[in-house]
Amino acid sequence: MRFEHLIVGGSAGAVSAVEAIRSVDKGASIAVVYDEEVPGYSRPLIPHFLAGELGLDGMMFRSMEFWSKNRVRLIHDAVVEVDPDDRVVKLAGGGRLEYGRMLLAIGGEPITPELEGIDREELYTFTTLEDAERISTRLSEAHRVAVIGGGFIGISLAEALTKRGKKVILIELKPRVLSQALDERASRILEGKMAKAGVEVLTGRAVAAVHREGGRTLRLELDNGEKRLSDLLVAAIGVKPKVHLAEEAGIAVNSGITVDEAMRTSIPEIYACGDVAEVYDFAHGLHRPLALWPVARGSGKIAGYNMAGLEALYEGATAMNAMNYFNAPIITAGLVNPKSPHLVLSRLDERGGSYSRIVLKDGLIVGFTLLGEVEQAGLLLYLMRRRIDVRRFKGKLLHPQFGLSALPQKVRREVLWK
Amino acid sequence: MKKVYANERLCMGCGLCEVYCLVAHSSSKDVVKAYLKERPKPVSRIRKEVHRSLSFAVQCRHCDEAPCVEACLTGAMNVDEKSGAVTHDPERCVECLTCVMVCPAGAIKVDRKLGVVAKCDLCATSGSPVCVEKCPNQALVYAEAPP
Repeated sequence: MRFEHLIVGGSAGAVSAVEAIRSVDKGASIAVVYDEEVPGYSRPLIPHFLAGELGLDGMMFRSMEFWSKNRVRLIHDAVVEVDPDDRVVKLAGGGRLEYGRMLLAIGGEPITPELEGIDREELYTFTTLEDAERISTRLSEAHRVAVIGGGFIGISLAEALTKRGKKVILIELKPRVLSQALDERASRILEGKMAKAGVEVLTGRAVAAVHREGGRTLRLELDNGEKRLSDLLVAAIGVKPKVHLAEEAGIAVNSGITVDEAMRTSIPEIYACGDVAEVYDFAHGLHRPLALWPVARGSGKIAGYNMAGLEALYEGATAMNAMNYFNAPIITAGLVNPKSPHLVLSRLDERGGSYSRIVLKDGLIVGFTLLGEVEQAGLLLYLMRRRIDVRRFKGKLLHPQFGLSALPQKVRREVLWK
Repeated sequence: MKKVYANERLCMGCGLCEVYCLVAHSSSKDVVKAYLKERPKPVSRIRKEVHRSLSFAVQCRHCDEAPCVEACLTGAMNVDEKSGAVTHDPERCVECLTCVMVCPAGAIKVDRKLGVVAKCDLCATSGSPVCVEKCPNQALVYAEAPP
C-alpha cells in the first residue's frame, strides 16, 4: 500500500499534522501508524486518569471520529524499519507501506535508572496510558509507593497517588524538586504543599539498592543508609527522544532528530516533530529536544503544512510548563536559574499565596516563574518570544495588575487587534 | 469574523463590562445574587485595565490559529467551524493551565473554585455580547475590524 502522507505515531504531533495537511489538501491519502492502545489520547492527562478523575473518553483530545472525518487510514502496528531509498517502511506485523512523504512523530521513551536487586518489570514508569493502567492495577494491594524523580512527571504522579489514598515517598537526587524549572524559593513552596498533602519528599537522595522484603514489598536503601518500605516503585526521571528508528535509517540525529525550520530531517521527504525532534530554544539560543505538548502540536502543524506543499517555518519554543498539582498553580518558562549577569525581579505575597519571579537580560525577559497568580503568564511569554525590550515598564512587570495597558501602543495593538 | 474591540479613547474605565459579564455568566442572572450569594462566585471573562490615563477592556481575541486551541491538552478549546470563534467546553477542562501559558492577551481566567478556566464566549447563547450592549460610552464595539 502507498500513502502520500505517512505519519508514524498517533499523538499530539500526528493530530496537528493531519489537521494541517487537510487544511491545505482535501484529497491526499494519509495513513497514521500508531502502536499504543488508542491514538489521539493526551499523554499529559495520565495523572488525571490514574487519580480516577478522567476516564478514557476524557483522555481523548480528539475522538475516534476525528480520523474518519479527516479520511485518515489508521494502522494499529509498529514501524520497525525505515528504508528511505525505496521510501518504504516495514511493520512489526509483517506489512510494508510505501510513502511519498513521511512524518516521524514517535515521541520519547522513559529513562530508567540502573538499580540493583530489582527486575526490570518491577520498575514501573509513567509516560503512557498503558503505564497508568499498569500502575492502577497494582494499587489495590500497593499502599506505599516510592517515586524516583521530582520533576513534572514525578510530582504529577505523586499527586495522583495521594488522591488514590496512597502513602507516597518521592526521592529526588537534586537538592530540591523541579530544580530545572523553578528557583529555590518556588521549589520550597511546592515541597511544603506536597508535605502538607502527606507526601514524604526526600531531596538530595538516591536509591542505592533495592531488597525484597517479602511478597511484592521492597526495601529501598537510600544513599545515606536510611531505609524505606514500598509496595511499588516507579521511575519518573524523564524521557529521551526515541531516535533508534531514525538512526538506523541514516537520518541525522543529535540528541534528538535534527530538523530545519520546516521540520524536515536530513532526508528531504522525511519530517520529524514533537518529543523526538530538536527545535530551536529561543531562551537558550540553541537547538534541543523539548518534550512539551504545545511544542509537539506546533511543530506537527508546521510539518504538516510543509508536507502538503505549503511553506511554513517553526518559530521555536522554550522550556515552558504549566502545572497545577498540590493546589499550587505554576507556570514557568525559559531560563529560570541564570548565572550572572542577569537582573532578577521577584515578589512574594505570602498572605495571597503567590510568588512571581522574572529574569531579565539586556532588557529582555529570558525566563519567569509565576506561582499562585498565573493569568498573565501568556503575556510574559509573548514579550519573551517577541524579544520586546521591557526596560521602559519593568517596574510594572510584577505588579498584580500588570497587563497590556503597561505596554507601548504598538505592542498592545499587535495583541488586541489581530 | 466579528469580535469585540475596545476603543481606548472612549473607555472611562468604569468597569461595568466586568459586572455585566459576570452576571451574564452566573446561574441566577441577578447582579446582587451573582455577587453576594452564588458559590462558587461566577467569573467575569473580561478584564478592565487601567494605567495612568489609559483604560480599556480585554477579553479573548478569538485568534486565527489560536495558541490556546493548539495547546489544550483535553480538546476543551476548539474553533467553531461556522463562526470562527474559539469555544471552551468546561466539561472537558481540567484546569491544566496550558492555555493560560500561551494566551498573549492574558485573557483566560482561572476559576480555581470550579477547577476550570473561563473565557469570553461572545455571549453565544444570546448572540450579542453583553459587554458591548451595556458599555455606557460605546467604548466596546462588536465589529469585523478594529475601530
